[in-house]
Amino acid sequence: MSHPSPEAIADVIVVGAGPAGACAAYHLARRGRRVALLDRTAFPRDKSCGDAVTRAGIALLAEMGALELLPSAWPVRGLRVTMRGHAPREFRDAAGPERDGLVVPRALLDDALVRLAVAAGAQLRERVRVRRLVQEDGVVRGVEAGGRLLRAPVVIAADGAASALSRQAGLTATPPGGLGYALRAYVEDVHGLDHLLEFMAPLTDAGARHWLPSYGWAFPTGPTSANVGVGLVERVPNARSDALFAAFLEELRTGDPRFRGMRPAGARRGAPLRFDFSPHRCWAPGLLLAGDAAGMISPFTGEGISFALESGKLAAEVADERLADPRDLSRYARLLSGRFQGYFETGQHAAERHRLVWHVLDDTFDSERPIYALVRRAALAPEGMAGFGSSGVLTDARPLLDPAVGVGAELVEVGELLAETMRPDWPFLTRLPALSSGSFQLSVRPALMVLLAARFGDWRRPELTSLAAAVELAGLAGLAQSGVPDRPSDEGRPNWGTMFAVLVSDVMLARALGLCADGDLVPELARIVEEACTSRMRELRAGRFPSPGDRLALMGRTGPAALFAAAGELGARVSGADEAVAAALGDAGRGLGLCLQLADDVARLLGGTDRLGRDARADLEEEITSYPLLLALREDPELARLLARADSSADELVRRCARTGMAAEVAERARRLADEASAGLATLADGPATRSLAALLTHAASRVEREVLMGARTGDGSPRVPPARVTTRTFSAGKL
Amino acid sequence: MSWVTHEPCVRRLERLGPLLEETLASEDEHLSEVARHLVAQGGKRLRPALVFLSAEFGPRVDEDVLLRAAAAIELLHVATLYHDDVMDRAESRRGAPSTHARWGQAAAVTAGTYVFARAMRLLGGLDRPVPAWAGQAVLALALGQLQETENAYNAGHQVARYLEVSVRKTASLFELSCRAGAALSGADEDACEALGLYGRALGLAFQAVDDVLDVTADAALLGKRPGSDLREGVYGLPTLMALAHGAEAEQERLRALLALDSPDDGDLAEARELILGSGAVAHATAVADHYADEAVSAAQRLPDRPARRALVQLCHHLVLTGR
Repeated sequence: MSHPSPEAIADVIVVGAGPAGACAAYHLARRGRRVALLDRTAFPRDKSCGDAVTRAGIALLAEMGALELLPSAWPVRGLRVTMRGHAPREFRDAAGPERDGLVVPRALLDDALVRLAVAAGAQLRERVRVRRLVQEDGVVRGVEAGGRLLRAPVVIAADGAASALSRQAGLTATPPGGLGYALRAYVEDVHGLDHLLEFMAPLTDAGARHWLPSYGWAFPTGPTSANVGVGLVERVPNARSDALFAAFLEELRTGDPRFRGMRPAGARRGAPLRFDFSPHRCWAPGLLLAGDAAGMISPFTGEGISFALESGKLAAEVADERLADPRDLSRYARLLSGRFQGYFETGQHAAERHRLVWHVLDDTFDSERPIYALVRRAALAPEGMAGFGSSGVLTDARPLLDPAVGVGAELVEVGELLAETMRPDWPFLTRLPALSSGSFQLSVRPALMVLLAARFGDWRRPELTSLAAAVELAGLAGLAQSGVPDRPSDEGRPNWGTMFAVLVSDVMLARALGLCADGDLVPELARIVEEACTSRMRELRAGRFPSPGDRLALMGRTGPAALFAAAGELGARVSGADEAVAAALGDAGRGLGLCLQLADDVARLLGGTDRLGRDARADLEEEITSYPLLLALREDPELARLLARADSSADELVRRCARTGMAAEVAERARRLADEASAGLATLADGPATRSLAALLTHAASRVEREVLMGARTGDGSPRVPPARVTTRTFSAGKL
Repeated sequence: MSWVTHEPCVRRLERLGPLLEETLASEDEHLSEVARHLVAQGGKRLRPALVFLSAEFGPRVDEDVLLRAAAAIELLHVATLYHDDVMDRAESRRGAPSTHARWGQAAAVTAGTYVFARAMRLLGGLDRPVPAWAGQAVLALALGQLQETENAYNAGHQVARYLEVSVRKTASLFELSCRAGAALSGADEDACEALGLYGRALGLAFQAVDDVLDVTADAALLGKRPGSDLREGVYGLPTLMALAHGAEAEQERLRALLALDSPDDGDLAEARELILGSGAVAHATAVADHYADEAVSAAQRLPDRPARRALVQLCHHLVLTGR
């Protein structure tokens, strides 16, 4: 046990007063700790950054009372991404009680945060240059600054991407590719910017023959001003960030009318970028790293302020708690990895992984196939964006379940197992919604079906959790494979999207088998996969336009219906229920899966979005025409021509579908499917699980009705989410 | 079949074909047809041969079990071919149009997964620890492929990391074949270990030879276009050797060619010439020889039986085809 030595200047020394450091100092001071906040400059001061704080960060600013100090900050409600040669896409914040994101110059933001830390009781020491850490017996005991030793039980290093302290502690090394670099400037006289962050990637060189791991941004700081900049994710031979920056500005000026008259305001600034966060390297005895010093920047969007704030707050929490014995700060690593698992690729593969994901994003930017929609969202959309869990599309299953059924804890366990299983192979994949924590885990999903079905036998069998996780992975693998188009879009180029889909599905299937190995469930899982393949083959061969009845029959054997049916059957069988019970649960699962899919399919065609956040553009692209669309087609044969054209508009599809009687028929069909499945439940013993399944079925059918009602309310079927289709522009960065 | 003359092995290989086709039967005829496309064309069946030869070092053999294990491992391999060909956009395989060229990518991927599931079903029925080993090999295959793809177009790919990929993506199934054959025949631990080492080294030698062939062989021998790995950004051993050991100016030129976003046939031909001219093929061949020697010395630790001579012969044959 170490005690604060008498000469300690504080309980905690925080080095660096940017958002991470100031936030840590604030929270420590609020907890009654003595904090010394050191910075080499004096505030206010300018800083190179994109200045954007997304929703996750806004909540932390609000908690500190910072928003009141930032009246001029420009609200932003989403992100518009332009990838070379593709039409832009928008990721809008979901409507809800949360506040807007903000763009606020770091000169203002950091000053406000430092003042709040001081007001809370932190002792600010400006113009202090920290030379090094002071370590005794392998424990950090303070820092040396200005020729003096400053002692404290805990040091929080928030000294930025180039963190000398983390390097001294052996917690960072320059990655093989060298650090990335970003440059930014403020510009004025920009016109027509709205409340969206603009993001362009990747930048290419003049002849567009070289692809650079890079991005550009233009973030509005006010009605006519913006922060514009470029980031180069890794060092690339012959690529210079200043040339990239100049070319990017030129491109904006000549290619985008909004930027035609822009003038620079103030100096250009640059800073290194680090994306190498690893939970294993965020602390040492007596030392915690926060923000950029821990390498916490999104490699895809450069977002860093919200990570900085959150890691600062968590560092404060852990420092406070471990002050008496700060040798073991490993809880900080656990907190960070639990919170940010999937945001950062760690280890030696990081650079290659990022490159692969960039290629996939680039290759599939126009595609609405499920796996690409998921990856795009996982990589580009900050938390709180419209979509999973926040748009009201995902159903929180909990209120539908009988209180006595008690599967919540098991569902969370399945989620943890999934994340644990996939994380070692590819942390990024754990951000796919089905694998991430939160609302998706508690939604109506195959794992829930497995657990409910197991309630009809011995539900305490230990292999049930693994089985539930394996069924989820198999389902995702199937979803990934359905992303493989029948023909490559461009014969002459690598098909990154297809490669990704195949790789992801193979890794997930391998992991699913691994989960099944212990319980001798491999043959069971193999059988599900075989059945899925057989049905998929039939579906592919049925062509684009089978009769609606045939489609419905195929639907019952593929996709969610097959998955939920298998989940019900297997859950029952593995828990020892008899075959008749397993069959009834299989039917219930099939009915549930069918209703879920009908709700998704009809939602898109009526101008809404499905559970994956996709709109009617997906229907233009898919080789498999949905049941609702086939019904509409029967009434309006013109739709076939619309589907055959490459340049059809989703709006027109929605308008035409709204004029048919398709919606009412789908609602009726869903109601009947749910009723049939419910009737099957009547053969089972009454109890919490039976009642829960009945409630889920009723809910799924009523979701179809709700979608139909919402579609009818918009009248002509005009889209509820305006699709983002603007002119296509290519971003290149001139000659390098 | 000059690469294996061991009588029991040859006999078993003859019985394997029908079992493979039978295993891939599906109630859906179209699926049966697509899923049998590759096994119907034959192929060397190297991995089953390893299962059979390895089973000669144990006291007992249940013919049916052994055949099933060999079929399962061959099917695991075949399943990866379906998926690899789609990913690499290979036009042909074993001299015939590739599955996706004939039936489309979606069908080819689905059939590959079906083949995989059938293999797992067979493996699941085998005695422990074979199913667990197979599970590890399957994961290694998937991760190896992932690692290869994420290093596509990476001219900075290190030879050491390349070997890591080869161990996973190629050597793991060779090793599994040998270990499964040994375990199912009740071979002792020393034999299992020696056979495992043999399989792993043989796999690495095989991969090196395969890489060399991609730059040296002509289309007729290869059954596909030479240099196709280069076009797909899959830098094999000769390419990595040329990048590491070639003359400075040539290295730089090669790097520049490989950095092109979409190289044309001329660019690729020039890159191939640079690799051939750099002496890298000799380096890569030396690596293949090194692992072949390792395989042979592992085999020498086995009792002297006809199967041991067959394993050595098989290794020599594989490495010499690269010349």
